[in-house]
Amino acid sequence: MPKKPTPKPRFVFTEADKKRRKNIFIQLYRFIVLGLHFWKLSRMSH
Amino acid sequence: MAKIVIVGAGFAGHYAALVGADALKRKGQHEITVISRVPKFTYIPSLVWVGVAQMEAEETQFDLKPVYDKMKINYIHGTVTEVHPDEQYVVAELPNGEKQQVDYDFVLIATGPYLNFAATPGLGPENGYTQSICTPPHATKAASEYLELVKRLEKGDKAKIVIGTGHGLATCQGAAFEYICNVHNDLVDRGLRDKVEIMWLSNEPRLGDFGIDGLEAKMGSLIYTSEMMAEALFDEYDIKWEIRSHVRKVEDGKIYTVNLDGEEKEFDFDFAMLIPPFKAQPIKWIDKDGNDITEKMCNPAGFVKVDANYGKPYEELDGPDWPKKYQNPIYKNVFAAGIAFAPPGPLSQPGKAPDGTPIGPTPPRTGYTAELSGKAAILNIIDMIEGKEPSHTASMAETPGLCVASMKNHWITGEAATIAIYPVARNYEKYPEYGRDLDLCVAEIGLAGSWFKALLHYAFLYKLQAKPGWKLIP
Ligand SMILES: Cc1cc2nc3c(=O)[nH]c(=O)nc-3n(C[C@H](O)[C@H](O)[C@H](O)COP(=O)(O)OP(=O)(O)OC[C@H]3O[C@@H](n4cnc5c(N)ncnc54)[C@H](O)[C@@H]3O)c2cc1C
Repeated sequence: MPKKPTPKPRFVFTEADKKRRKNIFIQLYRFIVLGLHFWKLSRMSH
Repeated sequence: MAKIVIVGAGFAGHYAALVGADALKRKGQHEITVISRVPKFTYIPSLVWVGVAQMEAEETQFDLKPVYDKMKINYIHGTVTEVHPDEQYVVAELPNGEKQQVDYDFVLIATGPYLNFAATPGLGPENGYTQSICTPPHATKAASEYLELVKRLEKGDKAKIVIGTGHGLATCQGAAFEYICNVHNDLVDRGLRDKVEIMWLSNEPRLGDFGIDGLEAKMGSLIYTSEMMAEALFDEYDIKWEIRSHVRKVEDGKIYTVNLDGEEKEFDFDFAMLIPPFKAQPIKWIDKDGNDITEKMCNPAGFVKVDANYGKPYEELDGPDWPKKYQNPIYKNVFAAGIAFAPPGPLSQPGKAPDGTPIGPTPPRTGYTAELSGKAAILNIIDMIEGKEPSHTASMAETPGLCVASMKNHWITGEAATIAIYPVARNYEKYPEYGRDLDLCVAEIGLAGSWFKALLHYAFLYKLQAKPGWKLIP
């Protein structure tokens, strides 16, 4: 079976990452993008 | 007229009943009967919030009978104890203790898991010392124990919390992950987090494995893994972790473990929520001569065998080995879906401690996977009623895993990990490098996920009550 990548070095969320996670405008945009992605994937399986 | 019996009314059985009733509407006088031990449907994913006292168990439930009356589905409140596949009937034990024989032409077993607390001495809320969030009563009890702990913390006490899996072969790590994050954030909001040490204890071979062999997603030109995400998050939340571990026993305030390296450890706790291992519901399969053929029909854990390739070692298992039609190979009119079907093997790397104790997650099946398998099974039954070969497939190696892991439930300050993988079971034959199509895989933490999670709660409860337009909701 093919090998999977080993995650190195250790990943850390930056302050920018943390702000982005809570920024309402970015998150509204991500809500639409991720929503469309979920919709597409669910259509592939029904 | 064909008689279809569906045993169990969770994600797999209940959705199959709705899809089947809808598909059979214009196809003559066929009959669907659902037999369920519990007269309510429970939206299990929201039990995580019940367990931190942020939602009442009743808000996750609705009565099945009115929905079935509306959809012209027969309903029997009872527990199936036997299936007689030669004579084509099941035996249901009714709440008053009477037994009822229910005849079928086709049967779909969708009974979900039996929570096997007895596999670990001292595990569980009934005969042990740990909590569970797997059923509404368990989650309600977990919430009241948690609130007791909060009271003690408010008085100035310090405490240790352990959350994760309670056995080397447990599954459902995702639910425990949601719970640990919600507990952390709830304690932060109450201003009590600095009084508590929180530890993640699990049987995962790597952090972020979640029983699905982890996941990879693209982030620009980088490949980002669930291990990286979980490590970074636990660092941020100051949650310690102890993985690759089997819980040998639990005593009042103490958990005893052994890990893959053979190290035996002890952990103190004031509050622990550990997911038990699953086995199948105790249903006997009996042939026309009265012989017990359960071993022939089911795997050792009691899950019903379907059209999978069983018996391959983990290293050789690949996408095509996963079941597609959910049909039993011996009795073609028997189907099994959701957690009730026997998977061909684990998704995550299995391991053994030096003393032979198996440690490695058994394969989870999410609510979405349960629905898809239930839908494929019922549509295949309808194919057979119409004299056709079953044509509907929903292999876990060809369908996506869509999951939103709640971390904090709030419209403004909430957070959740939005996770999409395609397919759920790695399919190296189709995607040689990772076994998955990384262009379709997503793992992202943010407020948007929290909105999704809340929306899914209402959307599923709406859809599964067959309210107007329910078929439009995937
Ligand atoms: C706390 C928690 C959180 C979760 N969160 C998520 C999530 O966020 N997303 C997700 O996709 N999945 C989640 N899951 C997993 C999801 O709940 C399961 O995959 C799903 O419930 C499986 O559906 P099922 O129909 O196979 O079984 P179940 O939902 O367990 O349904 C089985 C049904 O069969 C009935 N039954 C059992 N035995 C008998 C019998 N002998 N006779 C008659 N009836 C019987 C039961 O009463 C029940 O109604 C979570 C699980 C837990 C425990």
